[in-house]
Amino acid sequence: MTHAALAAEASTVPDERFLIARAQRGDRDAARSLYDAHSRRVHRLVFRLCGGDEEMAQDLTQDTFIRVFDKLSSFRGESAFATWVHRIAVTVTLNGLRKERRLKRGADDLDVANDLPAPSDNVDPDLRARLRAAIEALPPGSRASVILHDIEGYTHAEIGEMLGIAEGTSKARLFDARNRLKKALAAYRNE
Amino acid sequence: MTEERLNELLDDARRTWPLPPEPDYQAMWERIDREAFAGMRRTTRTPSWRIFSIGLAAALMMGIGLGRFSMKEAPAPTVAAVPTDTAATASGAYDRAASELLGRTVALLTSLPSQGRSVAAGERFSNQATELLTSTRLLLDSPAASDARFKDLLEDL
Repeated sequence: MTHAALAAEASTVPDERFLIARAQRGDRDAARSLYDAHSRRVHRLVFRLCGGDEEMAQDLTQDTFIRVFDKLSSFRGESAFATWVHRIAVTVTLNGLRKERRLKRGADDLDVANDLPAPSDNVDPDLRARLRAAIEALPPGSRASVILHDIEGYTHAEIGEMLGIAEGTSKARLFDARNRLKKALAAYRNE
Repeated sequence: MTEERLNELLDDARRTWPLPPEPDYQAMWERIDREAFAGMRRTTRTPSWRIFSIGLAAALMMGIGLGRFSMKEAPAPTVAAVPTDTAATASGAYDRAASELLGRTVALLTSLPSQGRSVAAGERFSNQATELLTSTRLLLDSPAASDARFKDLLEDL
């Protein structure tokens, strides 16, 4: 599912533009409606970006919406509201991760992924777990590219807009991240 | 590992990636509401020129009302102090002119918020204001200004 489809899904909330206009004037009920419409997807994205740390995901989701309502007066509708909210979520999450230094593992941690217990005969669950571990061990920017593109279904243009990078840079990052994943999984039997 | 195999694994990951446990969205909202909207409550709006002009008009109306009230309460002149008919007529005419001027000024200022910002409305407003200013200056030089209260009011205008 592309983000355009996701944005369309989020926009099924009746009169979202009307809600945004009301929230821009400080209407808290309208702000709550916007939060209700977008919080689940934002929380899921943040949860995945921060490697499944639920407590951190909740904190960063709240930080995202605090930032959203703080900056809402600057929203001019040039992009879909969902895209704008998700861009803030990605920025807040990556900044949060850098601040917390929870992902300072970087490329070295790919070795940790390689040090996982030897694969069992039950191939698929092990391989799946190793892939997740390898994705979570990627540097934050590369991991965001894989999660946003390959897991969440955003296009490179949308990822570029979210991360403040060129579309080509997003493609290059994903190419690099996928090469790292292939290397990390190369040692796996029959792969 | 081939590109095709990695694509298969990522497709599988898309379907099977663990979903987060359902958080307490209400509790999360309470913090958001507290922190995001505390800032909004602190913001103050600067009164616009329209609100200012309505205030000015209201103050003028109050001034006129007080002025008229105090004039009515002035002690009745004694027979010996009654001026000649001509002088009384002239003084009354100036008073009426001054009252009319103040009334027109109030009407102009009160209508200001509904004038809009069109060029025509602005020009009309400007002409009326010029005319009222001229009348105010003439009255300041007239016997109407001998009354200290009127003079103060006219000078304020």
